[in-house]
Amino acid sequence: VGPGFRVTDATLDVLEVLLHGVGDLYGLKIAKAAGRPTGSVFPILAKLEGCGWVTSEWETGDPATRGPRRRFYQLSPDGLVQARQLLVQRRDSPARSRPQLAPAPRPGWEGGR
Amino acid sequence: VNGDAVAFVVTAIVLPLLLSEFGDWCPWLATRLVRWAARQLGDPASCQRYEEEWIANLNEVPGKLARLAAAAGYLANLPGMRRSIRHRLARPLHVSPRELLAAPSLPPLPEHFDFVGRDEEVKALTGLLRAAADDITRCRPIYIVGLPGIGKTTLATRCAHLTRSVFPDGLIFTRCWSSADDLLLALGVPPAQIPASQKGKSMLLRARVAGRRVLLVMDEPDNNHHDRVLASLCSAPPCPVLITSRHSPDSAATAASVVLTLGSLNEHEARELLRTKLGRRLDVEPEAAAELAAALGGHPLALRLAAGLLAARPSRTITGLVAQLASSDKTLSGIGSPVTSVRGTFDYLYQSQPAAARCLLRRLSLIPGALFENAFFGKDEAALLMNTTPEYAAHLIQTLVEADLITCAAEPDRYVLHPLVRTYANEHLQHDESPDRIQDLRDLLKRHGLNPPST
Repeated sequence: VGPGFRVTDATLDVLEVLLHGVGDLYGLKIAKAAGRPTGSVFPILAKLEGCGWVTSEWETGDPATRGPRRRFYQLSPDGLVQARQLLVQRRDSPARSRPQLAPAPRPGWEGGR
Repeated sequence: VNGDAVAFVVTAIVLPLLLSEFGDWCPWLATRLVRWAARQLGDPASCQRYEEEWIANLNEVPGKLARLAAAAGYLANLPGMRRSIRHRLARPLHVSPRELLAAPSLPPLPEHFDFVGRDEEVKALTGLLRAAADDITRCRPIYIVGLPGIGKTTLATRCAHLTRSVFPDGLIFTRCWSSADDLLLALGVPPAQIPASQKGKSMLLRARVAGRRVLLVMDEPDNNHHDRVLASLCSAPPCPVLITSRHSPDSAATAASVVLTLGSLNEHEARELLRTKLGRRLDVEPEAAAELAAALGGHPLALRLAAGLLAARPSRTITGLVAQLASSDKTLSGIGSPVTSVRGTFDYLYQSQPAAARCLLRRLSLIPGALFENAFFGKDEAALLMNTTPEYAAHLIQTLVEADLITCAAEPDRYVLHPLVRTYANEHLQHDESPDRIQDLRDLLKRHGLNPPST
């Protein structure tokens, strides 16, 4: 059974981050870890969520102090298995091509500090 | 000379001013752009969700120009985002509303055709449900709390059906015996794909309803001790949830939820309820009907049972039934039926109380008050009956209040027993305590100026 959507390099990058990432993963963090612009990871996450590979939930915290909430993403049990398979298929070793979780500074507008 | 001066003014003053102005303006523009982009996503749920999510992410981008660039990124990816969302909504696994309603494991509860009264409650509740449908990203669980048989489930069903149009993605009912598996099946998950672990079930459930306008109606989920997944849906609902419960949610959960306490029917409503089954017999004995309604404390289930009893025996008069109820003081057994008895529901509540609280409830039935009238009491009377300190008595009262066996009166720190609860408690008192002991308690109350009702 195929994944049911087109798998691009960006999709693989995002899946790797979700597979290996630590802590609460939200859009900006995933984008940085995957080395992709923030705007581009949301369509991928939405697609994965729609297929049931990924689940998301709102950040919880003191409702009085929080402004807009972040949304945390996580692989579903199904998604975990399928993502591993896909990465083994498409990239020789999922371990070797693990993305840098603290990426080297990249030229560009976004992500600079 | 003039040209140089103009050039100087422009480069030295106007240009820096403009740049600084532009810099300040960037974050504002970025926020506006992202909000606008999120609103182009199509379905309202997605618009709302991504607007909040994107703004939260945008706010973390350092710098002013970088933020504007990030916003442009969101804008550039709008077509892809719309495709993803369309794809998600079109997934065959996401069942259509009709399929949801037709799901075999969780059929919607039938509406009562003889639903009467509760105008205010219906108005309040449908208002709450409509508001929840407007903002499905932040749903607070809505509780309907009340005594057994007071009509919580009927009201929930009624309002769910009335607001069906604002929940186009479906209406799902769970009963106290439903499990997370039932719910997943109802959401169209094939049996083979149901995860084994509780966590897996919980996540799949949330993924299935997230961002969809589904109303989940959970009938007394707190009776369902074996399914933690369903319990977790009450505390952190992924979609609008309407819960019926005999107990108020604990204080921590109350803050995050909406609680609608359902009381007895008023005189007019009680009469209308009797009329649905008795019709014109009510007009023949209007006073007896009012007495019957008072005797049953406006308790809808009890009224329904009594009306059913009379309807089955056309020769029996309402006056006769009232007299029988008053003379035998066996209100409960007089109208109980083996299938839906008030007694069964009371038994459940009573047996789940600690022994001391049960004892207090039994003895509270001695608190004076005319037969069908409410008798008020506080911690001092309770302490007297239990031969204990007022503090401990207050604690016991609180326990019973939380179980909805004792009702708070309008005055602070005063309480009252629903007439049906009092009758029930009195039966247990007669059964569990010796006649001498009961007489002692009566004397005790009398010495303190309280004259217990005679039985």
